[in-house]
Amino acid sequence: MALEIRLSAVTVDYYPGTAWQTRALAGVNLLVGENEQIALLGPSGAGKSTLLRVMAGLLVPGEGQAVIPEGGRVALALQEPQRGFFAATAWEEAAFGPENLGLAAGEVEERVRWALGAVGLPEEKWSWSPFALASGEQRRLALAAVLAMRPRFLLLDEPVAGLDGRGKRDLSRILRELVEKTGMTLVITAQEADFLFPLTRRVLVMDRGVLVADTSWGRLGEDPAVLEELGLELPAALRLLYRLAEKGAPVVPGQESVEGAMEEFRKLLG
Amino acid sequence: MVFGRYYPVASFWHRRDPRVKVFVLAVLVAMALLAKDLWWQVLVFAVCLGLFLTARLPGIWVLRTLHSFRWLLGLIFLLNLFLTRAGNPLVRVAGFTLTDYGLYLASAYFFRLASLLLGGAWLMGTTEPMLMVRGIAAFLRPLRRWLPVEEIALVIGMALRFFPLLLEEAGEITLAQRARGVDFRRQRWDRKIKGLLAMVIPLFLSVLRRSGELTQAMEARGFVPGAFRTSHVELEWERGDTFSAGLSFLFFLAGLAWRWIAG
Repeated sequence: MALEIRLSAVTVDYYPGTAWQTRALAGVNLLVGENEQIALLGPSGAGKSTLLRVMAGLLVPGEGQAVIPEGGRVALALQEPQRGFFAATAWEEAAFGPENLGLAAGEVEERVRWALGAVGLPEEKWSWSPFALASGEQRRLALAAVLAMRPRFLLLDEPVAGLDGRGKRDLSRILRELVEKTGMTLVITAQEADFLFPLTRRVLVMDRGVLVADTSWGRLGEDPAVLEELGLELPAALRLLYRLAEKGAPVVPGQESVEGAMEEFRKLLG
Repeated sequence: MVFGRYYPVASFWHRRDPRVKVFVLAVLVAMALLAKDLWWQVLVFAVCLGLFLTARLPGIWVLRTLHSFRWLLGLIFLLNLFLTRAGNPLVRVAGFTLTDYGLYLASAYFFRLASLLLGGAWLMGTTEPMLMVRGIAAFLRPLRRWLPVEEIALVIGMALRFFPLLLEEAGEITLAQRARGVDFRRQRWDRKIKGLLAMVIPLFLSVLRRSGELTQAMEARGFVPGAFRTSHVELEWERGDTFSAGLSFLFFLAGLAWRWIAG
């Protein structure tokens, strides 16, 4: 049976019944299936992190229903995931998740080996303390720690915040390879549309706890007023295409993928 | 956990001068500690309850506060109940003779501690930490010649301010480790211990990191220990403050009189 995450009319309040009560999610309906790559956009405070927590089964909605696959098949890496480090070595850190799933030692070892390899952490550093790693390596280790649970759904909350250019490129490559090899579903929040564009197809937009759009990169640019209001930016490639189209160049600006956008540029340049 | 958190609503007590509130609490503490009489303890508890509710703090916090300290409250109650020999015997339980005086004392101690907890929650719930610093500093003032009074008050204020943040941080870390499969309800004890380590170590590291950052932030903004400082919030004494302070003082006198009469 195909796995899916299904949210119906999900509402979440923080500190219900007190003076701090704030509505984080209001009536969100969402269906996420296997092998989908999704960008989750919205200004800060829009409810993106809360939505990911509900999707990961860490937060039970106050109203509505969340149906989520069990047994480590949905994994969430929170913002600054390295804050959860505690183990003596990188290997143990990555093994913590699969051990918690109650797997046999051999299976745990195989998964850890695979996960640390997938994020490209050099083998000689597997026995290092997680705190001795450089910050980019710590991020990759944190990713390996969730990957070792072999999720079918990988939810990443602001994975590029604080990463340098090289760190971003590395992460992008790692995620693309993972999707190619495993057909894993990705849901990623980030402020940088340029990071998300090559990795994702479907685009969710949130504002003040409401899912205001469930669309794609190609259709996202059709309503510039909405983007303007939410302070969201299209990827640079799409912005350029829209500008060219505005000036009368023979291009189709609403492209769904990086490859499509590149094709338009190629046609234009003859 | 709600104990020790500031609760942002408007009430008579929220508007009061922090010095008055510290004074009110000091009187309550004195009253709770001076008298052994059960009915007096019940009265002090009722006053605390009244303060709590007139400050528009959520009534459920009374129960939550008591619930948070249930082990301490329970232990003190049981120790007094079981270990008091004086009085008329009531029943025998597991080789201990429970007496009416034991029950009386146990109840008195229970109310005494409950009053202290509730009073503390009331002060912290109605007073922003930085104002509380001013209130506490005002009372420590006479000791200024011997002690760094301002700094002590500042440290207390910061500890209070960071307490809720710390709880929030603990919540975040718990969430992060649950995302990695920690499940205290279903796991075996050896996994639970490892899970506990996975919470405690990151929290400890975060506290160290935070305090280091705070020190740097304060130094970057020119904080010099022991230097003379002014405040940009002027405390204003209102009629309600005089009224509250006066009433507390009368309560204090009444307590002394009671103690004197009751012996």
